[in-house]
Amino acid sequence: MKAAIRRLGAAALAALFLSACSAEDTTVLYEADYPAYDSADALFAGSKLVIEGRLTGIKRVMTEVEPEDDATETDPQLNPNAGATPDTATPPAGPPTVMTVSSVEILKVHKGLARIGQVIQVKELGGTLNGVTYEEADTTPLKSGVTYMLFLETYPDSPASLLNPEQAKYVVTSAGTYSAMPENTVKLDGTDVQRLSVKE
Amino acid sequence: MASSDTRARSAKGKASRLLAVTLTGVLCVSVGATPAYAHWNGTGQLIASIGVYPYNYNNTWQAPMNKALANWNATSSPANLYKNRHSGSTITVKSYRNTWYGHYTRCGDSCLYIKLNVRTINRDANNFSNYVTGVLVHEFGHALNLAHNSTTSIMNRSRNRDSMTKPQAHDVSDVNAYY
Repeated sequence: MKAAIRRLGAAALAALFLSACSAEDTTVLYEADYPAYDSADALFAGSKLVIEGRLTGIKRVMTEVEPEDDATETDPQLNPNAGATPDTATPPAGPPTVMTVSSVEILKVHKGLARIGQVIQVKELGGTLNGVTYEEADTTPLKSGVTYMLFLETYPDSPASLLNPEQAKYVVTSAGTYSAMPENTVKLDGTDVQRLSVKE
Repeated sequence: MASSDTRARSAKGKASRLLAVTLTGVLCVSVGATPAYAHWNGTGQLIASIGVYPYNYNNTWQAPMNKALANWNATSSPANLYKNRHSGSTITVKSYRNTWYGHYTRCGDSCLYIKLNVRTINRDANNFSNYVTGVLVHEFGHALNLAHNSTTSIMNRSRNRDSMTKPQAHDVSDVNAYY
């Protein structure tokens, strides 16, 4: 009887252990294919705006507004619908992408049209919406209260985007040096920044 | 004799407990861990036979997109990508206000959404057709559970997108190992 109880206990333990290591949660993982940058020069060249800024702590989670197709564009590369035979059936629509938009107060401008003290919006993939957490793989989200060097693409009608979620942000340390994210092998130092900064 | 029988039963009990714990450990490691050489992350589809709703774009986009499906299907792996009007999985091409070329979302065991970005692909492509094919092959790699890596692979973000249009040996090996 005792042996049977012991065997039952061992089996229950095994089941518990298995359920623990295969537990699931309500997380949706995004994967995205970004350009990779091999130098500080490439990061500066690829950016419309390069700033040092501090996250104010204001963040909002939103869904991306799906872009409208430009029916007037006739270049087939720029408009994938130009010259296409319309489908009689309506294809199913995927859900909009969830993103977190952070407010960043600009402390220094190294490239682009912006001024010190201005607060800009920077978006990153992911966020928690309606109880579901959307996460971008291989990235570390921007943290409130931290000062960053950011390499950005800007849009007239949408918050700015990081060129690459791992490579386009460096933590500015209290000593004024630039600390790369864990997956980023491109080092950035003060000499690079001085050399590459562009006065608008 | 009774004492000997008890010892035998006790030893058998210990052995069964040891077996249960060992089995659990082995199962947990095999389910939860990934060999160091492999790059998958469990964000893909349950089976490698993946249907997507037929996309409909001009031939400048449609042909290289079709080639992406064909390139996976030509590999020696269980990958089987096909179009199916009953599928809820979609591939959408638009000019997104984002810096990525392609974006993959897993919406279930047999459900995915892929987006290709007209804006960035046009900005950076020298060989447009190859670029489109390679980016879509990469996103299908995620559907097949592959993760980003830094080796010779379609999943490497530093790859030459103007020339790499097919899954590489490493990618095929990972898909075969996963499925």
